[in-house]
Formats: sequence, structure tokens, C-alpha cells
Amino acid sequence: MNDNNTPNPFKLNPKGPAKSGMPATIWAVGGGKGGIGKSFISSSIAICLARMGKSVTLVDLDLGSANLHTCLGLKIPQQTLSDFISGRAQHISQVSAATEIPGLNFISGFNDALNIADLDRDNKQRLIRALRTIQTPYVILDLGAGTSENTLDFFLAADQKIIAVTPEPTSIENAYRFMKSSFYRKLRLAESELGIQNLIETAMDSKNQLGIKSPADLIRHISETNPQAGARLNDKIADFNMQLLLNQVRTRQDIELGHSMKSVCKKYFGIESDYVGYIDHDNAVWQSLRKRRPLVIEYPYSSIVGQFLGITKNLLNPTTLRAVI
Amino acid sequence: MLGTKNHVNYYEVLEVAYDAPQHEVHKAYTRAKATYAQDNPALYSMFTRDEARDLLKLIEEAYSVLGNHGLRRNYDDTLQKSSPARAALSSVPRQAAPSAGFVQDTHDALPDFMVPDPSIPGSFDESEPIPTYSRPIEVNTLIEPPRSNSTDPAPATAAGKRESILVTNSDFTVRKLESDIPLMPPDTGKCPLGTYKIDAAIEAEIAARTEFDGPFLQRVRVYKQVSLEKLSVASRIGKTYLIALESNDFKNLPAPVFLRGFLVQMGRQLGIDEQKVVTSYMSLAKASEKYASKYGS
Repeated sequence: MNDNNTPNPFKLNPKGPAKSGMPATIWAVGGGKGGIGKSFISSSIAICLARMGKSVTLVDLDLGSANLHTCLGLKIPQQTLSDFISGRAQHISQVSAATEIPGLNFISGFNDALNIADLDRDNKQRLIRALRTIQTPYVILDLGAGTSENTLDFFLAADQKIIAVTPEPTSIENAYRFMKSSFYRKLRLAESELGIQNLIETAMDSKNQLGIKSPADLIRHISETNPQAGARLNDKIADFNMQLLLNQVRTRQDIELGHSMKSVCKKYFGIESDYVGYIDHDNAVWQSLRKRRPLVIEYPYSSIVGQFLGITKNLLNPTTLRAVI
Repeated sequence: MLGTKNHVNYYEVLEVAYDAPQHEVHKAYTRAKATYAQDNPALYSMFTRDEARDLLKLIEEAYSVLGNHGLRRNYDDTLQKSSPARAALSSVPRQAAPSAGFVQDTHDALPDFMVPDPSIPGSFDESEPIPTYSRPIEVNTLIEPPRSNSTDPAPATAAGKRESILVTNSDFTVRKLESDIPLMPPDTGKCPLGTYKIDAAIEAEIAARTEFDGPFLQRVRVYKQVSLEKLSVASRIGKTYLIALESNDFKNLPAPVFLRGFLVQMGRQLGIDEQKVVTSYMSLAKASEKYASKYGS
């Protein structure tokens, strides 16, 4: 794959495999709507990470319509997640397959019978725990469309929560719906952990009198009525920070949309999010997909791959991103 | 943020750090304004139009304070008093970055809002007349087309309107909405920027007038119910210049060739004889010592 005679545009900084016992860092790519490029984005970011010298495992969690192997140009793997879920494979590493891209491993979710909605609670917990034990420092989850509870839980389990969105109103609406659903799921998990259901319920019962219109208002209200619970709740939701990624950008205004959405998230949810970058609309994307060759490999010097590299660097180091206005 | 107006923090509204230099505040303001502008797709399904309008008002309000050097300092002081925890943050010197020596002036680089602030000596030349307005400039007033309070973007046929069918064929019907009330009451005048109630005395005065100076232009503008903002947008003349023009502040007016263009625009937008405005105002400006010495003659 990597011909030594051609210059490598990717900075090679090989790091050994993660020490066993160190949990992997999980990045999840979600976004609600179908067809906005979640699989394309997750596979491209994974290849970028691999070519930057990191070990990565790409997991297809779009159960029921898994097709990440097509994005990567692989055949349908012999072993898939369903082997792990059914118990035929004891450890998740048994269903992980190495790809021809050095450093990149792939776990397929392909199965005709298995659907994300069919995954029961125990198996879901087992899978989430198993994802943490994967022996590569980075694990990238490709989530399916929709806001089913299982998809949300995988999203919330991730360390970096990437929201893919295209500049179309339908995609924006679904992205917000996805954010709202996962935020309320997070809130519900936090409230049962902290035992503050009553507090939230009372506030929501009289939300009109209290002027509560958004989660930000709700949390502010709880902080006022019960500062202790408010502080703990704030701690809990502090790690709910999303990374906005704009796909299929065509105009300058589209680029600004990311900043706008970041501000809307701040004002609506009261949480910080990052705008990690945008990807241009490019015909090369569907052309490479038809060839069933990953774009990052097929056109390594294109501007779109440059954008992916920038995004991957931003995701690797989100603090520097936040320091710049 | 919404509904709990009493503890709004202007820094949070504009999403800038407490120690952000002035150019960042300005940038954040421009970005926030674009974000909460009507019809920005990023608001879709999150904020209603009314909520977005409230946020915009808040943003304007925040910038009217943080965008002004003196007002911002006063605001920082009140913040410090009200919250000791924040004191540590806002007491950080704004230009603390050691490498930032060459941008030492960024905090003052942009012109402050034209709000007379007695706390800043020299912000307004005492010898110059401070602009007076028959109506105060409302910083947080937005210019918007009048519409109903309903959040529904396309309100159904409202009461007081009737439909008349214009074209009908088998496939579609084109209806025209007509108001029961005639569009223009008889005592309503029209200028390019809107309608106003006609006052015969003022109309006569405008018609008779040959000398147009700043205050009179302002009177015409206020009479025709055109706000500074609206005029500024329509004529593409900065508000600063409009204020200077209306207050006969010749020192701050541009070179004659530009001033002439401004006056033509202003006359045209206000629906008065632009030729008269240009000749009388230009001679007034050239007679002014300050203007003549600035641009020679």
C-alpha cells in the first residue's frame, strides 16, 4: 500500500499499540439523518488516523444496514459483530479483521438478521464494555441514522461525539433532533444517578411559569433552586460536548453554518461544542465510492483529504481548537 | 438565556471571553448577528422567529455596552461587584499576552459606538454640538417588516382581509388577498423608505425651504418616520456619517466629492429635492472653517 518511493503526505508518527489495559479512546460519528456521509466520514477519518501512524479500529454500528465495508472497498468479512453478540466469539478482538491499510482494523456489523433495534440491554452493555477493551488506542464508531435508544447510547459512550451535518434544512433539523434526543438521554441517565428526578419533574411541570424554554434554562433553574444538585448535574453533562462536522459544503455561507450551529448549541443546551471543520462537496466522493476505493487512498493529495487531515488533527487535540476564537 | 432576562451576562450573550480584546468583541457581534438573523437555517427547529428576535435584541444590547470602551469598563466594574468569583477573571489585564506588544492598541483600534459617554474625556469634542435627537436612538430597536406576533411563519388569512379570486382554472386557483382597510389612508404620505402621516404645516415648510442644514434634514427624517438605521442601510452611508451630517459636524464629514454623493442619496431617500439639499448644504459646509481647513478649497 505504502510505496516508499512516493512522498507520503501524511505525517508519519508511529506509535506502538496501546498498552493492554489502557482503555481505547472512542470517537462516534452520528447525525440523525441518513445519507449525509456518516460512513464516508468515519472511514475517511479512520484512514487518516491510520496513515498518521495511529492504530485504529473502525466499528460499523449501523446494524441492519451496515455497509462500511463497501466504503473501505472490502469484501463482506467472515466474522461480524453478530458473532460477538450471539456469543460465538468470546472476545471482540476475534471479530476484528486487519485491513490492507496498515494500522487500520475493521469490525463489521453486517448481518441480515441483526438489527440495531433488536440489541437488548445486556448485550448493548456488553458491547459498550467490549469496545473499551479493543487493543487499539482509537476506536471509531459509525452509527446509523435515526435516534433509536441503542444508537444514542453508543453515541453517549464515546469520548468524541461527532455530529455530521450537511447544509440542507432536513439534515440540520435531524441533527438537532439527534442532539436533543441524546441530550435528554444523558440528562435522564444523570438524574437517576444523582437522584434528582423530582427536581427536574417539578421544574418541567411549571416550565411555562418559570420561563423554561430550553435545556439551558432548565439547568440554570435547577442550579438556582438547588445549587448542590445543580453543580453535580453540571459536572455530569460537562462531558457532553459535541464536535460539529459540516459535510457537502458548497458556499461560504455553508461554512458559516458551523459557527452558527455551535452558537445555537451554546444558547439552547448551555453546552460547549466544537466546530472541527468542513468537507467540500466534491464529485470525487461518489466517483471513488463507485470504484469502491477509499477516497483518502485514491486521491491522497486532493483538497478534500487535506480537509479530513485537518479535522482529524482537530479531533486529536480539541483543546487547541477551543483556545482559538 | 431566554425568559430569564434578569441574569443575562453580556459576555455570555456574545460568547466572548471576559478579557477578549475589542476586535474580538466586534467579530463575535458580527457573527452573532448573522447567526440569529431571520431565516438562518441554523436556527431551524431550535428557536422560533420570536425567540431569535429576542436574542438579536439582546445581542444588540450586549454590543452597545461591550462595543464601547467606557461602557464596557463600567460594566466590568458592576460585574466585579456583583460576583466576586468573576472578579478574578475580569481583572486580568486585557493585553496581558507578552508577545502582543505590537497589537497593544487593538482594544481601541475600532471606533467605539457613537454613544456620548461623559466618562471618556475627549470621546466627544465639547466644542462641537453633541447630536441631539427628538427621539432617542434606540440601539436595540430592530428594523423589520411589520408582521403579526404569531410564531406561525405564514399566518392564515387574518380577520379583516378578504380574498378575491384572480384566476381560476381546473388545476389551480390564484387568490389575491385584499385588505378591507384601504392601503393608504388619505392623510398618509409616502417616501422611498415608508409611509408617514402628513402634516400640512411641515410639508409647506419643506416645500418653501431653500436652506437645508443638518438639523433640518434630521427633522425631515424624523417627520417621515425613517430611522437612522433604515436610512443607513438604504443609502449605504455609515451611521456615523449620518449623525455627523445631521448635527452639522463638518469636521467629521468626508471630502466634498463624497459628501455631495451622500447628500444626493439622503435627499432621494427622504423624498425631497436633492438638488436643493446639495447646493445649500455644500455651501454651508464650505463656509465652515473646519471643513474648509480640512479639505482646502
